[in-house]
Amino acid sequence: MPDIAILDLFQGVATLVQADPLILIGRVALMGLGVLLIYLGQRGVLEALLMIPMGLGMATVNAAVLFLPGGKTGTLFLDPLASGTDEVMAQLQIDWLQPIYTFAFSNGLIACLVFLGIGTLLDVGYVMQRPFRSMFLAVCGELGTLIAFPLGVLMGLTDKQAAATATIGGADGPMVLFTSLILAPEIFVPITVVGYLYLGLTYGGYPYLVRLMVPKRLRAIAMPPDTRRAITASEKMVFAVVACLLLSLLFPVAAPLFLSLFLGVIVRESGLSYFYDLFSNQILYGATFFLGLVLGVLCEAGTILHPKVLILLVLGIVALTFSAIGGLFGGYVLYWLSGGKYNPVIGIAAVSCVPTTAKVAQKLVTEANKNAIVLPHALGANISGVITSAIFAAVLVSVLKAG
Amino acid sequence: MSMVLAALAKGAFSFVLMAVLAAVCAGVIRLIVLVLARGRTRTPVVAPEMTMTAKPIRDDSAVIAAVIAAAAHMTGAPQRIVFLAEQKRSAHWITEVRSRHHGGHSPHR
Repeated sequence: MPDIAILDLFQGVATLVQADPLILIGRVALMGLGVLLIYLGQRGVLEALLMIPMGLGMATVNAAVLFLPGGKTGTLFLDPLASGTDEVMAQLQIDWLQPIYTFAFSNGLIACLVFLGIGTLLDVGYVMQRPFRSMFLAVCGELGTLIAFPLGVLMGLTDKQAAATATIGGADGPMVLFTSLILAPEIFVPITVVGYLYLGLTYGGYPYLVRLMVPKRLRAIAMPPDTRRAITASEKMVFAVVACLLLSLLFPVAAPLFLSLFLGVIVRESGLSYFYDLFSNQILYGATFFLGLVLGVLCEAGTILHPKVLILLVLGIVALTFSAIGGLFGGYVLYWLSGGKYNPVIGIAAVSCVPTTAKVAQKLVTEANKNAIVLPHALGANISGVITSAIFAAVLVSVLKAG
Repeated sequence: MSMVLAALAKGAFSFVLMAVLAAVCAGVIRLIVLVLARGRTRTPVVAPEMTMTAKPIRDDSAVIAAVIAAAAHMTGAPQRIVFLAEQKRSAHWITEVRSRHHGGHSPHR
């Protein structure tokens, strides 16, 4: 029998045994968390499209740690810490997900592709029919970002790290990824993972908050029948072009996101069915799949176990909770201004988790009154939320880069 | 503490600026809707007078029956046509290559 130690044959186990106790516990816990994400995704508690690839990626990458030349440990998935041309080129030829990470992830391309796909799903007609109400609610729905930013600094983050984490309050996954890549690249992985985990929980968690803040009598308010004329595709296209140019002129740093979003809107409205099919299906779901997979693979214990993760977990939940409270507060303001004719539940849709929060609003209203339809209003606030989140992120990036 | 206050000030400034820009966006939207609606009312489209020389065919089932009869005649196949639907839009070369690929394992059929 050859003289080989058993652990040399099974390197995943060997690296686990020889690891620092903290890393060992982290790897085992992350494997468990990965399996739990798959389960919760499959049960529909979390967003399955994202959580299933993310969960399996997370579990597998923590199982598949091996010894590398030079006495280091690592995986054959990707190395997010590779820097310098030679090292990155070497990793590109070894790690199978390194090309996607290097060419699509770390430069924000995948966030832009998801945004392009989201753009094709947005009907800006809902915003254009009631722009001031929708935008007002969306501004209120940014309350979480406003509160989480100084709170993060108070908890020990730098201002850029705190701002990047606070954008979780905007409830826009690609935006969180994009902002953290620009402002806090050193902890963009835990910020984005925390952001997506919490965003996945909004569908299950927000109804409790709404029921707590809005009594059934108010949830049952039926919105008056809409007499506004339908917005034509040409009008939507004119808006998309003007908004894209105006916002890019003001905030060039977020121009890739603005272009992606409004390009999606224009593709939808222009009747280019081949492009529409491509971006709303293959591109959106392809990008979402690789986003989930790469995020999961990035959760290797050695990379993600950062002393600041606990702070990020607290800030993320604070940001999303206060954004929801802000949105509902906006709903109450419109309720009072309209003399009790506006359903305040619509405010929850200002948290721009398209279209999840709009669906949450309609679901809760239907529970209280089967004949009440608030979805068009909720979608208006929802889509405005995407726009205000992008504006807020762009302003924060510009202010902090300038400072 | 000064860092927290600075963050608070930056956050508040950013929030106000975002709110102003959101209001500007809403104003731009309203302007676009108003201007385009006015343009539409200024140039009313007059519908041309309809002159019908023959009554249009309304019977879709008659058309389908005629298509089925023609198709059955042309193919001369013993099979019955049980379903007719619009052909899915796809490039011809894709269909040709796909059928060649599918038939690749039974060349003598």
